[in-house]
Amino acid sequence: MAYWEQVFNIIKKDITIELRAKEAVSAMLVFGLMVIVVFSFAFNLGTREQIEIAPGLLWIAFTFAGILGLNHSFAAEYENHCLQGMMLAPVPRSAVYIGKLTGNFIFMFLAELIMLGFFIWLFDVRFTGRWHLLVLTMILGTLAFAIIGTMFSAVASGIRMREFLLPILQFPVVLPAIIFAVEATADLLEEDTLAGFFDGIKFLSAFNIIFFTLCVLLFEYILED
Amino acid sequence: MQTPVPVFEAQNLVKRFGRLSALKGINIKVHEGDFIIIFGPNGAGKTTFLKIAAMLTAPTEGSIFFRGKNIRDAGSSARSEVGFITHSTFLYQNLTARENLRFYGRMYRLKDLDEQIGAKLEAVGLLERADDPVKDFSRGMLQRLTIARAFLHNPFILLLDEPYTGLDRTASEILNDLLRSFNAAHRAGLMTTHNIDQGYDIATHAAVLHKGQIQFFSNTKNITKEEFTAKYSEIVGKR
Repeated sequence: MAYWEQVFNIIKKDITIELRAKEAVSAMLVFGLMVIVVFSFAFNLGTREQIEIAPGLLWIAFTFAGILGLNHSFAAEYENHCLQGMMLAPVPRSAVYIGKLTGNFIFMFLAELIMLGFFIWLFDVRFTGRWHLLVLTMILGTLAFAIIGTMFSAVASGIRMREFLLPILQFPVVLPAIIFAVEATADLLEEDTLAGFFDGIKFLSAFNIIFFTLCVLLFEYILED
Repeated sequence: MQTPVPVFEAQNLVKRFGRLSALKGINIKVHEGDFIIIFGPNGAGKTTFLKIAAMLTAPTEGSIFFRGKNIRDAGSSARSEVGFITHSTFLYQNLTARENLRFYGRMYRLKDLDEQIGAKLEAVGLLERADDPVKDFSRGMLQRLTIARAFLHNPFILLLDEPYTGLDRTASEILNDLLRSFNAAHRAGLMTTHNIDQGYDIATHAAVLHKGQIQFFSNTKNITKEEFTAKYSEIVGKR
């Protein structure tokens, strides 16, 4: 119980800071919305082509915006060496990881929901009757991105060139999850069977379980210099 | 008669950063009531030693014991007994003073947290500014809040890394008062500094750390400040 109280304490601290500073979500939103607007002007396609290309564009906007949020996540912890302050306390390192991961996921998911609304309006795509499945895909895809991103943002945050290093480290690892998230989203836009969609969901679930376990186990070594 | 188990013990600590050896076999014991000050010039390995003592980084070789237990076995429970004051404040700019202390207090699972926060803020003269964001604090106020944070969980052993660096007069006096109460409570302290004028009077033992090794160690009853200063100059060399 005490473990989860400490996880909750870290999440609460991150949410309080974000509500006050409004840095992570607003930066992700501004960037994500700009990407969507540029795409909407760049691709003036018919309905059929739009449906084919839309899932990829949506997840590009999500991932680019997500990188901004992740870069911010541990940078705040390195200001005044707050991460060291946390490490001094009798807190399991995995609790710090889960706390930071949850905060990152919440901020990214909130920004993505707003971006999604904007995307649907501009691209006129319809997920009629499949909203719950789209939300499930977004949760699993974003979680995959946050699981890997939280780990690597901790690695990169103490380094001077972290803005460049984080995407270089993160994208190769998270790419399979993004591909399956794009395919699952595309399946929701097609009118035929959802068999392919559930394959994507299974892959994303397995990816999240495996990498979450790995990151929880490895995080202690990441924080030690 | 049995020798008392030291509160803190470093055994043959070695720390290497690539080819550079920052620590070359440090051995030191801290008993209850001891306040040991390690003097040394810049680059002597003082900060590295305290970071290992605070369990923020692992030694390349050697071991740390808290109350006779290797920290590898003691796990996170040993951390609740250690307080650390360093150049960094460990404070979140966008949280208030009270929120910062509450966050750390919960990390240490303290009981009666609000009362303890109030008492510590009063001790450092920041009770009236408790609900102001830390980003609005002056340097001196930040330092006082840093002291409150380090003492919040009533640590048994206090590690201080150049604690007087940059402190204004008020903050220095507050720190001195807290250290005197800390010593009176028969706890244990380990401080590093390059300035012999700072803290020698409250030390029970003084050591010289130079080139990654403890070159001299003595009870302060056996050596006057002037004699120690001469010894220090002899080891480190006058500039």
